[in-house]
Amino acid sequence: MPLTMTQKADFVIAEFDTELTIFNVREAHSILQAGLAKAPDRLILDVTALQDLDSAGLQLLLWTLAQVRAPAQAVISAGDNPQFSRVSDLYAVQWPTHFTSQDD
Amino acid sequence: MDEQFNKDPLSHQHFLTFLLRDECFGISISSVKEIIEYDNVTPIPLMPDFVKGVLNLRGDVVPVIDLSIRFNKSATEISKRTCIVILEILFEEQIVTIGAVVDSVSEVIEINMDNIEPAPTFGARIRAQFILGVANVGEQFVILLRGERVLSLDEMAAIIEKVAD
Amino acid sequence: MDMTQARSLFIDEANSLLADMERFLLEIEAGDATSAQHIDAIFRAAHTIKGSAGLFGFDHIVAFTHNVESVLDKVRSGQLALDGDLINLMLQCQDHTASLIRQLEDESSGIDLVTGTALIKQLHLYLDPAPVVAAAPTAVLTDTEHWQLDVHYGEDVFRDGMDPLSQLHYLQSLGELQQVRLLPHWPAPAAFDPESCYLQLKFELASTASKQQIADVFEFVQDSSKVQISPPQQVKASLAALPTVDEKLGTLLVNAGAVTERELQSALSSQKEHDNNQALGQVLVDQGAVSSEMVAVALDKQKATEHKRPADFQFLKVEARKLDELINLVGELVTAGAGIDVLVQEIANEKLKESFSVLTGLLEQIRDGALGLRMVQVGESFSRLRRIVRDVSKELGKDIELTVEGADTELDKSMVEKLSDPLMHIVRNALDHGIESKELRLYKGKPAQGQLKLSACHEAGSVVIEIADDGAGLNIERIRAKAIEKNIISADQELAEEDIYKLIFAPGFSTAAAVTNLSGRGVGMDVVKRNIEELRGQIQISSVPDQGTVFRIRLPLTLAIIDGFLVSVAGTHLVLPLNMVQECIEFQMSQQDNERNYLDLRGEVLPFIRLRQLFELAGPPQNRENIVVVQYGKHRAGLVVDHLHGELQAVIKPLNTLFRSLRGIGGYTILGSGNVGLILDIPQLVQFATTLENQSFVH
Repeated sequence: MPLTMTQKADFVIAEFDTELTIFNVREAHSILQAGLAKAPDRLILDVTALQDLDSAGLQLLLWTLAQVRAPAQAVISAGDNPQFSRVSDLYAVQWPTHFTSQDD
Repeated sequence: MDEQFNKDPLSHQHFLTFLLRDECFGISISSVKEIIEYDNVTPIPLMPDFVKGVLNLRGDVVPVIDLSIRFNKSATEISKRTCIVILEILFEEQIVTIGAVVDSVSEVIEINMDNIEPAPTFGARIRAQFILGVANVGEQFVILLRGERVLSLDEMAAIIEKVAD
Repeated sequence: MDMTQARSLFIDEANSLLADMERFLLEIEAGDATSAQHIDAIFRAAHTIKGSAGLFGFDHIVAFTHNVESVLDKVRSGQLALDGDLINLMLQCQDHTASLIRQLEDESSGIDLVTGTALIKQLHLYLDPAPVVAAAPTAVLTDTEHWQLDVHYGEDVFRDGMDPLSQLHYLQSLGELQQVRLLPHWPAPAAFDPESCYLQLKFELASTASKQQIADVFEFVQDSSKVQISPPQQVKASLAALPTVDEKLGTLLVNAGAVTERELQSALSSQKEHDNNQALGQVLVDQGAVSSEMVAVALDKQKATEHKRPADFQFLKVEARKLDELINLVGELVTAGAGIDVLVQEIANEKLKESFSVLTGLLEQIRDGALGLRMVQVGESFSRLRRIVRDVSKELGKDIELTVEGADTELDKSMVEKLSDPLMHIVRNALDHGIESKELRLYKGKPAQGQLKLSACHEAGSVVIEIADDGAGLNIERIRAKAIEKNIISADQELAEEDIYKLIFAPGFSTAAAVTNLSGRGVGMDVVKRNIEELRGQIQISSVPDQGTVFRIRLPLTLAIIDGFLVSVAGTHLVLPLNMVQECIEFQMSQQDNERNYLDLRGEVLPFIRLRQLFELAGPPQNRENIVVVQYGKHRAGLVVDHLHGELQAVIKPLNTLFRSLRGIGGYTILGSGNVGLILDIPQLVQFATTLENQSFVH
C-alpha cells in the first residue's frame, strides 16, 4: 500500500509510505480518490516517510491538492524530509503547509 | 458427494499404454504430444540400429527411436499397426521433441499412484532406471516408463558417439 | 517504450560508442587516421554517453565521463596534443567507462572506485584550472547568460520511463537553473490518469552550453513533447564573431549554437512538405526555434558559395529478435515455394510455370535481402583484436605490427559474434608463443618488429579468415613429445605433418613452457576448434619453422538458407551446397571395374568417394551412377551418387543433439515433397573419408 488514510478528529490524514513513483501512483490515486470522495474538510498529506519520489508522484500530490476545493483545505506535512525537499526545490514548488484560520 | 471431486490430482495420473514385443508399457500422457502412423522416416547414415531416422513433423525435423532396440530386444517389425508416439522430453531446460516407435497403441488409462509397485530389480530385462514402477491394470501388468530417462538425449548421443568411433 | 527497454537501448548505444572510441584512439595511435575528424568523433562519443547517462540518473557515469569529456574538449580545441600518454590514458578511461556500463547490466559486480578515482586524478593533470577562451569550431559562449526553456511534456513521458526530474538534475551540471515554474495542465477530474504527464516546465538556464548540448538532454522525450529552447541575446554576438566560412544559413545557425540540428531538419522537411519558397530562416522563426533578428545576423554572414557535405549513412536499429523471426518466415516461405514447385512440375502448365518462375525470382531476392540484413563487416571483430595486440605486446615487451586486410568482408552477424572468442585465442597464442622476443628475432636475423596479419576474403561461397604471424613456427617434435606425454597419441603412432599440427586442438594440450596469464592455460585451442565447427567451419594450420604460422578458418557465408544441389543415394536425399558443385559426370562401368577410388578427369587425377559405401547405405550399386565434382578451396573431389535431381533452395535446420557425432552431414532440410533431405558438409565429409581410408591402412 503506497499510503494509508485515517480519520483523526476533524482531519483526514493520508500517510504515505516510502515510495511514490510511476510504479504505484495508480494505486495511490485510487486510495486518495476514495478518501476525497468523503469530502473531508481538512486533509493532511503526510510525506515524512517518503524516500523515493519522482515526477509522477509529485504530480499526484499537486493534483490531490488541486482537487480540494475551498472551504476545504489540504496541506503537506514533510517534516525535515531531505528527499522531499530536494525534489520540491528542483521544481521550485511551494507547498501549503498550514491551514489558514477560518474559524479560530 | 461425487467421487470425482474427491480425487487428488497428484494421486491419479493418466498413462498412454502401448505394446512393444507383446509387453504392455505406459508413459505419462503429459509428455505425449501426438501419435502418428509409421510413415516417411528418413534414415540417417551411420547411426546405430535404435535410431530409425528423422521425420518431418509439420516443418520440424524429429528424430525417431526404436524403443524395442533401446530395451535390448529385437527390432520392431514395421506393420500396419506400427505407430510413432511423439513425445516432448525436457532436456537441458529445453523441451525436445522425439518420436518413439511402438508396435501398437492401446489406450489411455488412469492409475492411482498409490497402486504403483516399485520396479522389480530384475526380471523385466529393462534397466531399472528406465522404469517408474509397475501397475496392475485389470488382468495384466503395465510397466510405466520414465520418458526422460528412456529417451535421454545425452545418453543416447553418447552411445552414438561410441558407435561412430 | 518501457524503462528496461530504454535502459538496454542506452547500454547498447554506449557500448557501440565505446567501441568507436577505442577504434579511433587506436587508429590515431597507429598514425593511419586523419586526427581532426577522429578526435571529434571520440569527443562526441564521450559526450553522448555522459548526456544519456544523465537522463537515466546514472550519476557516477556522468561524473566520470564529464572529466573525460573536458579533457577531450581541450584536445579538440587544440589546447592539448593527443600524444601517446594521453591516448593511453584515454584507452584506460574507455575501459573504465565500459566497466561502468557492464556494471549496469550485471549489478552483482561492484563499481571499481579505485580505478575511477585514479583516472580522474590523472585527467585533472591535463585540465588547466585557468579558463581559456577556445577557438572551437562550434561557438563556445564565453559569457554566462540565460537560456529560456519551455518544455511541454507529452502525456506518455512517465510511461516511457522518462522523468523530467532527471533532466532538471542533469541540466544542473550544465549551469544554474533559475525561475523554475511548474505549470500543470489538469484534465477534467474524471479524465485524470495518474500515470499520464500533465506538466509543463518553464525555466531559465544560466549556462555556457551550446543549444545542441541543451537539446540533447531532451533527446529521449523530444518525440512526445514540445521542447522550445530560446537562445540568449549573447548568442547573436557570438554568431557575428564566428570566422567567416562558406556555409549554409542552417549550418551557420547550428554552429553558432542558436539552432539544433534537429530543429534545422524539421524546418527543412517542413519547407519541403509545403513545397513553398518560404525562406529557411522564416520557417525557423515560425517554428519558434530562433528569433528573426538572429536569422538576419546569420543571413548577413552567409556567403553564396555552396558547401557540400558527404551524405551520412543512415542506420536503423532493429531488434535482433524481429530479424530472426523475419528470416524464419522467409525460410518457411522458401520451403513452401519448393512444395509448390513440385506441384507446378506435375501439372506442367506453361502459363503456370511462367508465373511461378517470376514468383521464384522474387522469392530469391527476398531471401537474399533478408539474409543480407544480418550481414555485418567482419572488421568489427578485428578491431577488438587490435586492442589485444596492442596491450599484449606491451605487456610482453614485444614490438608487433598488426596489419588488417579485407575488414569489409561481410559475414552473418551471429557468426561474427561467435567468431570473436576463437579469433582472440588464436591471436593471443600467436603473440604469446608464435612471435619471438626482440632479442631472439635479432639473433635469428629477423627484423626486431614482429608481424601479425589478419585477413578476410570470400572464396567459393565461404569466408576465409587468416591469422598469420612471422614467428618461430610450430615445433613438430615438441608437439609430438607433448602429445605423447599427455597420452593424446601413442609413442609409436606415425602422423603426417598436418595431423601433428592438429594435435594442438586436442583437449588438454598446451605447449607453453611457462604458463603466462594470457594463454597457455591449456584451455582454449580445443574450444577454438569446437567453436569453429559449431559454425560449420573448418580450421587449418600451416607452419614453416622460423618463418611463421598461418591459421586458416573457413566459414560458410550464412547459417540459414543455402542454394543446394539435390542428389540421392539408395533413396536417401542428399543436398550439396551449390557453390561447391563444379560439374556432374556419368560414372562409367569401366571405372567401376576396379577398386581404385580415383579417375582421370581431363588429364587430372580426381579422387572420389562412394557415398553408398561411406554411409553404409543399403542395396547394391546401380548400373548407372553419377559423379558430382565438388571443389572447396584448393581441394577437389568426386562424390558417387545414384541420381541427380537438380538445384533447390535449402532451409538449413540444425542437427538434433542426438547426432552431434555425425561427420559429413551439416544439417537437414525439408524438401518440396515433404521428405527430409540431409545437407552434406563437404569439407568434413572429405576429411571423414580420408580418416577412414587411413585407418584401413593401419588395420
